[in-house]
Amino acid sequence: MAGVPEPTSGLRRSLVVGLGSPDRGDDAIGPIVAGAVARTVAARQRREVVVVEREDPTSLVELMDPRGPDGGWDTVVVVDAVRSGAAPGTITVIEAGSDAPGLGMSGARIDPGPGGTHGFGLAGALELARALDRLPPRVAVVGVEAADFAYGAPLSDAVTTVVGAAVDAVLACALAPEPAREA
Amino acid sequence: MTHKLTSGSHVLSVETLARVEGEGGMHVHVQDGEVLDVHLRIFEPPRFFEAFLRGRSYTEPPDITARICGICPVAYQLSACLAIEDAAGVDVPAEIRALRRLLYCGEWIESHALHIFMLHAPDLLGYDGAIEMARDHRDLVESALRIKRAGNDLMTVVGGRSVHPVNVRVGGFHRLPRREELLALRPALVSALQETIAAVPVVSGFEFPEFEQPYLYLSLDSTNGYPLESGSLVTSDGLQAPVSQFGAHVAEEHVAHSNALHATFDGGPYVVGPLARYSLNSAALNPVARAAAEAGGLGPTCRNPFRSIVVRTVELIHALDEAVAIIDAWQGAPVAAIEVPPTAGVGHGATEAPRGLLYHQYRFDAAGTILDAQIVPPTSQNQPAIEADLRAFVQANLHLSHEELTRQCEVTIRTYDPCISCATHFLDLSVEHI
Repeated sequence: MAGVPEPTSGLRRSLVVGLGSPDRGDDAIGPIVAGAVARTVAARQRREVVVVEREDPTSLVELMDPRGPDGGWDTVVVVDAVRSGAAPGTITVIEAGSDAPGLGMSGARIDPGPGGTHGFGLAGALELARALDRLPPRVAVVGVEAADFAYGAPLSDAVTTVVGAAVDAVLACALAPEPAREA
Repeated sequence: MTHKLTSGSHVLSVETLARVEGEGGMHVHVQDGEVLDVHLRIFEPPRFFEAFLRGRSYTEPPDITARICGICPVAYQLSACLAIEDAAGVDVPAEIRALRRLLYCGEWIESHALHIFMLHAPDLLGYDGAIEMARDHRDLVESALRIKRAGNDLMTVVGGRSVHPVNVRVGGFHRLPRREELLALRPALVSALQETIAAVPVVSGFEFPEFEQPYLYLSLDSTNGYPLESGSLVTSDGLQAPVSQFGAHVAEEHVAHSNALHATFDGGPYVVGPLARYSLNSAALNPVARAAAEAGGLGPTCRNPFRSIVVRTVELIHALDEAVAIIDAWQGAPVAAIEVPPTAGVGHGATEAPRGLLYHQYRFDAAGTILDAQIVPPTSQNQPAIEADLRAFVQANLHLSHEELTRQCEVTIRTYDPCISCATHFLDLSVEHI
């Protein structure tokens, strides 16, 4: 799969997807957090965690295909900007894997958000993956409430403040417990 | 959502259209058996791209305008390049044009596969959407994802990214793909071609309403092959004109119910997109696509918008076949890009976005600074025709239930694959004061 590095085999495998456009204000929180997570797992040599950035939510359906060239994942963590009406910067973790109930979306009749592609937003992509039996047991969506999606704008202050907390939330979902050290 | 009024009139209303790009709605007002008002409402906030371009360098529009749309960025990049190169009086070498065409094939593959199988097919199979359809037609959706991915990978190799490519520049590309990179794409493209050909009986076997549209068709011509990355204007009335004459025929006006401008051609509604391209250029399709058209029951022209799914499938086959042919013939290029000097003057460019002709015009000063920009996307051009279709369709189908008629109206809009995100970029700044 283009852009997906080889993980170390034999370990519990996690995929982290930073979703969003780097050029649309707070929509960049996904790629920004993904970049920080990639640096962290590299520094810790946690090669069972693979980190990618994507702009098109439908790419999630491809990334999660257990019959694809990269096989399946035990855990997928998606970090994305969300709009729920909460205060900007609020971080919400939603469980959406095959072990979790559906998101209750139908017909892809959901707001695809500014980064969505023709009616398929994050929730639509996840539910399509569920319908195709592609969801891994655990999918965690780390949503960061956005304030502004303006073209060319930087992250808003409220979202900038919580980048570190969002990175921690993603790592908490993606990282298996550290292997026990031999005495 | 449907409302019946106590006055004997009724309103068909969809607050937010599903399975289209961007935010829009529909409003149809019927009274005493007559359709009074039809409004395709586009209320996604306008983004003022044309104003944003003023004062920027002539080298910047390909990257800036690519951001207008996530599904057709190549169309924006290449229409911009053509307009800028036109102002400078330069033509790119044949190798660069072929590579542009290959990149454009990737965009068509992505966009058409998504619309045919995930957005339009659910309407014809009676599902609310692709998620519900996937439960019963898994093979169709899995096939669509494989076809779309072949386009994604092509965009990634040639354009640098599958969404908002970064490898396009005025005069050519920043980097040429290596032959082995292109050859690695070939198996998936060939497989996608075979899967799409196999889908022709499926898409042509749907039941389509009997509905013919009488409007003028406009597309690029087939001077350089089936219209894609270049060409001159051609219409179903027999007009043939250079792209520089676009403004002499097309006028845009603001309407109160939409954030997008409405375009007319010589004062009337007209249609751009697959039906227009096909009807004006079907003889230029590759043999495999022509055979698919025949197998799908298409004649040399098509005026039923509900059958656009068949035409898109034929175009998808053409794009896949042409991508393979370009890859097979690719021997590299002497340079990745030619120099395009800043030049005072006006340039025009048009290419065929998946959903229709996309026109750019720029005026530059001698330093290459943009003084004015005009971008006319396909959905803006189709908007009056969509409303006219809705009016005619509702008038002829008032016997249907409110719910069914509302659903059919939404289906009618989706046959155009409207891209509302594209259509809301070009209100002049002065409208802020209205």
